[in-house]
Amino acid sequence: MENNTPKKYSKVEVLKATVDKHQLTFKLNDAININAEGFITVKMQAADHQFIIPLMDEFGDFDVQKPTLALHLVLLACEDFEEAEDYLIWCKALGFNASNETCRAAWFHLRDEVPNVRAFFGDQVQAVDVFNYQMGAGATQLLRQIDATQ
Amino acid sequence: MDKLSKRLDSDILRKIILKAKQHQYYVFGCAALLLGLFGYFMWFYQPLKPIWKPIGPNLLFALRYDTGLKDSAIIDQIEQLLGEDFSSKWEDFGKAVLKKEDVKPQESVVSWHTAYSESPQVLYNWRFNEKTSRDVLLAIQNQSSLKIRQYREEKIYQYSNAISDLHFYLINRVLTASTSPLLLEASLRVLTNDVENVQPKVVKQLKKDGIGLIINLNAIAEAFDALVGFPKHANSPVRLSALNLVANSKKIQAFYSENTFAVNDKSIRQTAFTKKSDLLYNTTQPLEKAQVSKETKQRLSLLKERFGFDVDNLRQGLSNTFTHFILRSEYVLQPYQVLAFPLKDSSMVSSELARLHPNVLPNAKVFTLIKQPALPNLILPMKLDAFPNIYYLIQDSVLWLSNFSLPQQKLKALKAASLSTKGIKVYINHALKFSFTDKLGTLGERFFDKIDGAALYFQRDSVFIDIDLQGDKSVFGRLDTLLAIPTKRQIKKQVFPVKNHYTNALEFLWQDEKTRLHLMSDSGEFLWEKAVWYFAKDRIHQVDIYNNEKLQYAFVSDGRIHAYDRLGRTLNGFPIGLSTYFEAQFLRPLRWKNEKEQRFLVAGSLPGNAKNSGGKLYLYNRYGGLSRGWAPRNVEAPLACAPKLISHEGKDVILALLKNGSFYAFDKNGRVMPGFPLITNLICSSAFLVDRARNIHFMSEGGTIIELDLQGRLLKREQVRSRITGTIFHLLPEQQSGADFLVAMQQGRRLVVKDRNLKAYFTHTLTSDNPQQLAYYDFGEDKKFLLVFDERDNTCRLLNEKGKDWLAKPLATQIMPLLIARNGSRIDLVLSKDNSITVLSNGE
Repeated sequence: MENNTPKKYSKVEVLKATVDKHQLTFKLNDAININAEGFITVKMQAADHQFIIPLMDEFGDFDVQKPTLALHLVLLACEDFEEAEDYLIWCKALGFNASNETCRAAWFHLRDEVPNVRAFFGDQVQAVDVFNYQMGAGATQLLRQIDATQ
Repeated sequence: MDKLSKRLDSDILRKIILKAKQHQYYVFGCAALLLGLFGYFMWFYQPLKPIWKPIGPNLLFALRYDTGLKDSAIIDQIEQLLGEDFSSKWEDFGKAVLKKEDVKPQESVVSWHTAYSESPQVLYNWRFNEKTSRDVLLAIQNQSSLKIRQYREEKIYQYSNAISDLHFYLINRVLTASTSPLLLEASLRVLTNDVENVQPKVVKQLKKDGIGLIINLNAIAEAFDALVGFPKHANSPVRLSALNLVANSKKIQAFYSENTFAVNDKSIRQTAFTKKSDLLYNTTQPLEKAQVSKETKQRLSLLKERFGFDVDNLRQGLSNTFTHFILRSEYVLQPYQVLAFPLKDSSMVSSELARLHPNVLPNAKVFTLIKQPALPNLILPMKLDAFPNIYYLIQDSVLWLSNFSLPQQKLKALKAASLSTKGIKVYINHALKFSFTDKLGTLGERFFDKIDGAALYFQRDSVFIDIDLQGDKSVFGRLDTLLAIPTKRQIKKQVFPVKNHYTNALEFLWQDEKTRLHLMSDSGEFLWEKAVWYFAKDRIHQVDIYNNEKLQYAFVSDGRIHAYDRLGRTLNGFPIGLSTYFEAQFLRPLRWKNEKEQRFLVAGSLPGNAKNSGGKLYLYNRYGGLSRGWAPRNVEAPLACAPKLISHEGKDVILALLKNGSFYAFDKNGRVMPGFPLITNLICSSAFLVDRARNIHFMSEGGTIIELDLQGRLLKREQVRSRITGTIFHLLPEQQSGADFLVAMQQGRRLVVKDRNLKAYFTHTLTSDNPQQLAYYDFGEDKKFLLVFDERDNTCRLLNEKGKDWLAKPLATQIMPLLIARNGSRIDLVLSKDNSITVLSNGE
């Protein structure tokens, strides 16, 4: 007999629990506006904190109605920042022009904001694996549905 | 009859041969005697070998005389005038140094030089015969009190007494001595290097009992050229290089070298001087058509309209030469200047001039004043503005124009000196008070530091030199040629000063137009040349690759890093091949703090169109591999200048300015440091500098100055204001320390220089509006210079801190010159012109 219950993806569940716990809401913001395809700036509002995170939403997934997915995008932006050794690598990874003043502003903003985000959520809250996300496989499917199903 | 005479001749010949056979010893004896006598005569009258070469433009004048000269009246007079007892110098020397009074030189040359001191320095040359020269050498070698030093593989002796030191050397039977060691060394360099600033041809052979006076007329020629009123030969400018005067008790003769005195008429080469004490200067030259300006054309047409005066008719009446006389005048402020035009058609000229001035009659006896028009300027190819008033006279088919009403006796004297006589009366400078005293005064100061006036007169059998050494010090700096060494090929770009790691002496390294690398010592000796086949893209650096305190030369070419040792040998492992998809532009050899390994940071661009091409930074180790820990870095734009390595808070930091105005700081792993980049979006192409407070300054092409700190914070962004479009902005780092800077703006011919706070420093008017290359040097108090190099005109100038020309005139150079401060206040300027490398020095 086939099991129809969805697989449990702990990372997605943690993300969902975090959204619920901190009552996170997400909005688009135009504080940092890089003229690049998929680039958005997101304002993440917690009960007593707010963060503004510039990020790449290359698949156009951001939706204010899907806070778990939005949190994943925010955490993915933090990972991109942390993995890049420096500004030039970050620009290259995201396909930005390094001489763009706004890119530099975004980088500098992330440099200040990412440690705060990490401190706020702790190490346990992590984005879904990038590979799976890009392939749209596994946990990504749950991630895209989890806010809709409830 | 013929047969008979032939037989008789052969009989006589046979008899003579027979007799000779009988008396063969006598015959051979006579022949030997005759040969011996001939040989003796040849030996006795053998021409004296040249013993001396003039030391370039530093030479003021030199007197050459036979020491056995019986009539030394001329020398006495010269000594009296100079106040210097040079003829007895040898006797003093013999007594003091050689302890011998009976040894005498055959010939002496005493030369006065202006370099190395404010007052002229004297160089003595005494030539001996073979025996005397041996005695002198022996006497010198037996003197234990003499100090000896080596220079150019020759021994220089130094004799010291309570008053002064005398330095001397003995080469080829000539003892050369001077109280100035620098002058002596210069003379040795001239002898050993065969450097001939004044061609040796002009140093004519001196006959026995003669006196030769050699005057360097370069400076004077320029003075003549610059003087308004002195005519020039239109086709071949008069370039007097050296005048050689040979005098004996009968006459004085002047010799010019054909090459150096380029005039149409070669008869000027050897001319006996006319003995007219009033005549200072006269020359006859071809009359060429005047260059008529627009205004003059208008004026001429007006004259034609009003009076019917036609200057072309007038010209047709003139013959094709004219003579220009300058006479001593009783008027303190102006000499007589007289122009004499022989006439082809006297009546045509008279009638033409009568249209303007009916009161001037043909064959009048006195000069008549006319005010209009300025006839000399209408007729002559050059402009004479020493003619505020014109007097003219037509007499005996000659049109005379003069600036004063010339007295009859002077006119007679001039007529007596045939117009065809070509002679030059020489004067050195401006002791004579006439109109261009001011101009000459200024010029004189340029050429002679302390010589207020100097004149040379020839009267009867005597030469008079009148020199006044009491003048004020020149306002101009003096740079005399220390070295002028021919190079085989033209120097490419620039000369780099390098250090000899053995002696710490300065040496010069450059690449020629055929890529050969040349090393020259400070004293002008070529040490080696090396074919390298590639042009250096950036400057040539000195590096200690083996970490053994020995220095090598490294540079980057298109695709390679080259390194050569001090002897010009290629270092093992070099050249290092660079990545193929990369155009190297800058090399920065570096060594991390507390590490021994020499590394090479190479910056360049990626090929592609200018819009998309980015920059790239590679770090190589000395073995040719990519340095560990540094991944080649791509940056978004090519670099504007070579990157720099500095140490900040104990860390190595590499600074790089990109052409798009972004400023990066990388750590030793090539990571962009926190706070960087600073993005300015300016177009930058010049170097940045790091000041003493560790702040970074750079300037965009549009004149925006940026100041940032090493945290990447923007401290200042200021636009240098310019009302004129097309202004060229320069940020000029001080070349010695690189820590201070000036800001310069070139607005056409106007050069505005400001200090680092953009407060006006000075404004200077350039001679052309060509874009100039500038370099700022600060050698201390009163020794700040702005070097201005005009690449198009191939000239350079030095401005002092007041923005005034420090040199009297621009110097010719094909490369950006190099200014070097030596010990004390001495400054050397290294430049290249006419395929030679020249080192000029103020000799202080």
